[in-house]
Amino acid sequence: MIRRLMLVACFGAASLSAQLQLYWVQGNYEAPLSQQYGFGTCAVCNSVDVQFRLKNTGANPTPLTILSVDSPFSIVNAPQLPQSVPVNGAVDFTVRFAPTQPVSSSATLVADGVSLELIGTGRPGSTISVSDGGGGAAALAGGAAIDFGSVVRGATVARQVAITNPAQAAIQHVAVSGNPAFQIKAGPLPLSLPATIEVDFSPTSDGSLAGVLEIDNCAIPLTGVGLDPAFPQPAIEVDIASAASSEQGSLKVNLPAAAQSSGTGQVQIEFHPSSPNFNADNGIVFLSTGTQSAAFTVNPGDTAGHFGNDDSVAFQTGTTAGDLVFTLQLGQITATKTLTIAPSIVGVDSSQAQRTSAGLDLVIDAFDNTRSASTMTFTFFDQSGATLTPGAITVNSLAAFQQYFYASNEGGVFALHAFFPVTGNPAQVATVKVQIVNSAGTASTAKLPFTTP
Amino acid sequence: MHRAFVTLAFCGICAIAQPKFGAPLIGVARDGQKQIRLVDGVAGNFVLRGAIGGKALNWAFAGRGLVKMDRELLVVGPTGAVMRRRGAPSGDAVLSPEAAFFPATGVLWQIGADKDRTVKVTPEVVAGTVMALGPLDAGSVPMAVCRGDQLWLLVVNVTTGAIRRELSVGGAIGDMACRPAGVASLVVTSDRLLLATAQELLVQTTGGSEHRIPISGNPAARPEIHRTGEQWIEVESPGSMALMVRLTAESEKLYRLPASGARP
Repeated sequence: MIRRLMLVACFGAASLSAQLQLYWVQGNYEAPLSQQYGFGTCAVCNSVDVQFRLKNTGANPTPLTILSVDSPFSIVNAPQLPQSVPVNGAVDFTVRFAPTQPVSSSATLVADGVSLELIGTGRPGSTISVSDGGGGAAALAGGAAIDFGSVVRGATVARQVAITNPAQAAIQHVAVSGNPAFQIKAGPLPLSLPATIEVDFSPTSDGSLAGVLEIDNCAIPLTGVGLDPAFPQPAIEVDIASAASSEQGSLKVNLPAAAQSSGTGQVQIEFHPSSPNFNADNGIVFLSTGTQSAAFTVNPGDTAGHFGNDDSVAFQTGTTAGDLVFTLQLGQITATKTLTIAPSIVGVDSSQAQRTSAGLDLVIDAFDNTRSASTMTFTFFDQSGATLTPGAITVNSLAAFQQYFYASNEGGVFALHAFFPVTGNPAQVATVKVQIVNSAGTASTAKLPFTTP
Repeated sequence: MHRAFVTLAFCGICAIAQPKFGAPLIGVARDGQKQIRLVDGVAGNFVLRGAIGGKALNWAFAGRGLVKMDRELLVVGPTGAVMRRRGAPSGDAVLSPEAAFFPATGVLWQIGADKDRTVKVTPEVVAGTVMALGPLDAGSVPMAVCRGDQLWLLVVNVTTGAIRRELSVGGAIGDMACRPAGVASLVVTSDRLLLATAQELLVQTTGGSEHRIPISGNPAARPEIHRTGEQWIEVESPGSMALMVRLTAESEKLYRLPASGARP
């Protein structure tokens, strides 16, 4: 029973494979092939390309899992494998014959369930060897390209191409075609053999570039890659009135020499707070993006990066002591600049002191870049400027400050709201002076006048 | 005697003055997507918080404020929370933090804490194009009006809709605010007028002094200014970063407002 099942499976596989049929293709014409195809003769340094087609002539879709041939034949535009070929569907591909020796060659083209013998004859041709001028010339296989590697725009790489042909006394035709980055240096024609010609590659654009070296009937591919010149080492310039919290400054990317290529770079702010226990400070951002990174561009001739239409990008320093590390990346080049924000006493930004019917209401917007504020002292003055007894009222708010900063992602900013109930007439109180202590010292406000709304 | 009484009172209360801490709210501003956002922080350090949501046509905020959406007027409280929403005529309105004027209907809304008051201000009374509303003061609201090419300040009784007094605005703002009418962006505060031109912010104090603050290098810019906080106005100029201008008794100082970025 198992043997019968295996037999059925084998028949199934055979029937699927038999669905593919090979054709020779030229333009709109195709002809079925059965056992053999001849490429004819081809000069040793040259190649011949022929297009073939695999068609599914069966009644079911069939898999294509293999398509191969041995040297000196090769498949130059191999289809994707595996794939399913639909009924009446076709897969086109090209086989190249590139003889390396002046002999007859054969190889078998194999696909799923079909095969074809390919034959071709190499006839004597020129022997090409290539060196970079430093000796050690290497023979160039038939159909192979002369590769110049990667070359920076503006630079030139040369290859010495030595040509020998025992059956031929001179070359009648030498030229290069394709991308103008490839140029030839050769003596006057006809060129007696053996001869050496120089082919130069001087890219004026970036990316992969291709050309062809023509030696009589022999066409040799030329390949190379043009590279943008490296950027000059950029430097970060920070312009800020004061290296302190709650400041806005600007950053420039300067190049010591004019750029010779274009590119996009990025600057980032990495913040290292003075205490690793601090929460994030969402105030530390580039203003144009609202984030801690900003992109810039560099064009040929530029000596500075462009942030949109501007030559600089603005940022704000937040309200936490620490190091703002600006990092620049342009291609493979990086640069950094550190702006240190020193711990400072509490900075009072605004205040509002109001009398209400129940007492005195005080609101202070401020920042503590050390996040260590502890005691606050309130001293009230009467209309004549005399201190109201009992004098300074001190409140230890360390725990309240810590609780607030622990929950905040807005750096060291805080709004303090203090209310002082008064049983007498609050109008007798004219001003208040507030002192706040942190690890950097004591900040003191001016006398804040009370107003009556 | 009075002094002694107050002193005694302080002695009694000093132990219960318990301070509270929170994030300092500067005001509300409009981001690049035309959404209103709360702005925390201090001068030079602005932190944008979550958007109120929806496309805001106009807004004014100073401790509390109003936001005009297409068909709604939002009442924003001191913490930046939306306290109330009420239907409103479609399109833009002229706003102060406490009042809204709808040019199409000539209705002036005074927004109260719980209850609103509306009054009709007839076109004959206005006799021009309303450019801005000032802060409510003693039952009146200042209304900046272009009559022809001249700017006038009308003080309108919010109960009756009648004009209590009117005066022609002199100086550069008086000359420039209405050329052409309805194009300029004007803010009226209790102590100064501010007019945004293409490249400058013109400031005229109630004391009569004038000065100019450069805000843009683009002579074709059409900036808008809005009351954004107790001490702040925002300058919006298409294609440029928004600016925050701090108004103190002595001066005005410019800062740049961060883009809304990736924060929620």
